[in-house]
Amino acid sequence: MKLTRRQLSAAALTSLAALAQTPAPPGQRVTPEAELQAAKDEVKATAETLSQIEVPMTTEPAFVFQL
Amino acid sequence: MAEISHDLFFATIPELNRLLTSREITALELTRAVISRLETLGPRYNALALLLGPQALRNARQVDSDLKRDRTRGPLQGIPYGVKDLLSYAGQPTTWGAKPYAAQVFDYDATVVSKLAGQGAVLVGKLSSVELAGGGGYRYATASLQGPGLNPWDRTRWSGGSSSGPAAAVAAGLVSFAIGTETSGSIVTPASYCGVTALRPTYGLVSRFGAMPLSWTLDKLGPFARSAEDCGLILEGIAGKDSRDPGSAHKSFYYTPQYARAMSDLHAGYAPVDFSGWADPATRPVFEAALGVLRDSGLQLAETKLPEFPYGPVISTVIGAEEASVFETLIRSGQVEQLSDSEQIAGLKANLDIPAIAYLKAMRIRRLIQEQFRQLFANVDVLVSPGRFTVATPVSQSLDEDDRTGPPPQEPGMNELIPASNLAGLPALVLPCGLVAGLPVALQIVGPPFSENTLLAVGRAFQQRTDWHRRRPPET
Repeated sequence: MKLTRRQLSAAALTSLAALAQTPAPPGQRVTPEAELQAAKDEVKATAETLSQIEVPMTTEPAFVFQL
Repeated sequence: MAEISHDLFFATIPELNRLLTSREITALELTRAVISRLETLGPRYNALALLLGPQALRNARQVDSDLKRDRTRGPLQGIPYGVKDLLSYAGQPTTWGAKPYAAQVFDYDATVVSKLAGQGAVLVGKLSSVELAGGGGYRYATASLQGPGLNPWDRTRWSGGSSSGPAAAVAAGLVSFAIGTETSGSIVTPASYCGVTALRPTYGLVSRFGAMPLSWTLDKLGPFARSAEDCGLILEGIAGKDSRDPGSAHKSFYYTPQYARAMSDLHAGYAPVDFSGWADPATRPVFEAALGVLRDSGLQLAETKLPEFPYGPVISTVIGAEEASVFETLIRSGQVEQLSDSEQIAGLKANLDIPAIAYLKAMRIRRLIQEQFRQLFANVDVLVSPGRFTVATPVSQSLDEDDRTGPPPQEPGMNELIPASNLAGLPALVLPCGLVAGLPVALQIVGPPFSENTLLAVGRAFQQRTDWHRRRPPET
């Protein structure tokens, strides 16, 4: 699955190997507004990705770890 | 006063314990020497957040007094250590590595600090962290109140994050061990980059009380140390139930090397593409040699695949939603603008928009991930993969930059083992396994929940056959 840069950044916090899949444009200066918009777009895209994944109705969230 | 040998700065816990209990050195002598070294060299690596000299000397005197009366309190008694500055120490600043919290002071100790104090370990300082553990995503290593974490092996390289200070301080012999935190990669990455043995415990095994919350369902605390054995001794000292931590697993940990299974009884899963495709070409011979050592120890290696899930979107949603809730006041008040990394500022703000339905979907997928890992561990005892696929990156390099010269491998291998294993709450042991152009690389060994003794057995077997964990950076 191809992941966007921000998804991966948040995913592994420091996962450079993962980040390596999706390089950012070198030397490009972005404004705070543009950066925020990009981050919001990522949030939207990530939510969209998750919405397309089928999960059985009986699957409860992993709030408590039954390890 | 006896002269403290330079070698003691790199001694293991059993080595120091023998010297302390035989009274060949006193805790006060050792602590004085460590404080001096930490004060002098800590800033060299931007590793030191706060020196706790007077408190440490007072506690060291108490240790000596106890030892004089044969009041022994275990292997950590008199051992000088540091904690990542995400952990509270009563009456002293706990900055979380971030400007908005630079003056923050708690009136209680984190549980791990209390537990270690109870065993006579001597806290000598708070160690640096990426601001807010980097949860919003960050672009530069400079995203810390102390400046970029500099790697003791080469100060033009990053020490890794977000437990930058603990890894660098242990690598440089500034403390005998350190406590760091991991939400997803913050122990494994800096330990790999700095060539330090480290353990990320099973979620819930070590209390998070008094540690900065980033993601309640992912945060974990663990040791950076000189060996797998040291990690076991420290984990025994800090693990255990804590009613003040809602995520506590209510389990203890006893370090039991005497009951370890033979290596020849253990099966390890690995993905060859991790070592031949994902790993940077320069690191591959070192990783191959490390696999050879594991084979020689008797460990049976078998090809394995990670369960297929969108780990990136799942973990980014979980961390993003939980941290946005934790830091909602910071974000809405505008104080978030005081953070140093613009990507982190944007990330924290945007995470307020994560829909509840997305968070719940991520947490439900997480349940499936846990189930799949349970099935995976029916066939293998541990998973083996590189801790990081490259050596430490240049400190000035954007974390967005791509070092890879060719396309990524077609097969995912265990490329996403860090987020995957964190989502499943699994423990990991980081074992330094070689040097590439003078910089460390490491293996990560991941096991099922509460399999720390098995991971440590693999670690001991590896470290009995190699000395990478005892190597010192050149200028230390």
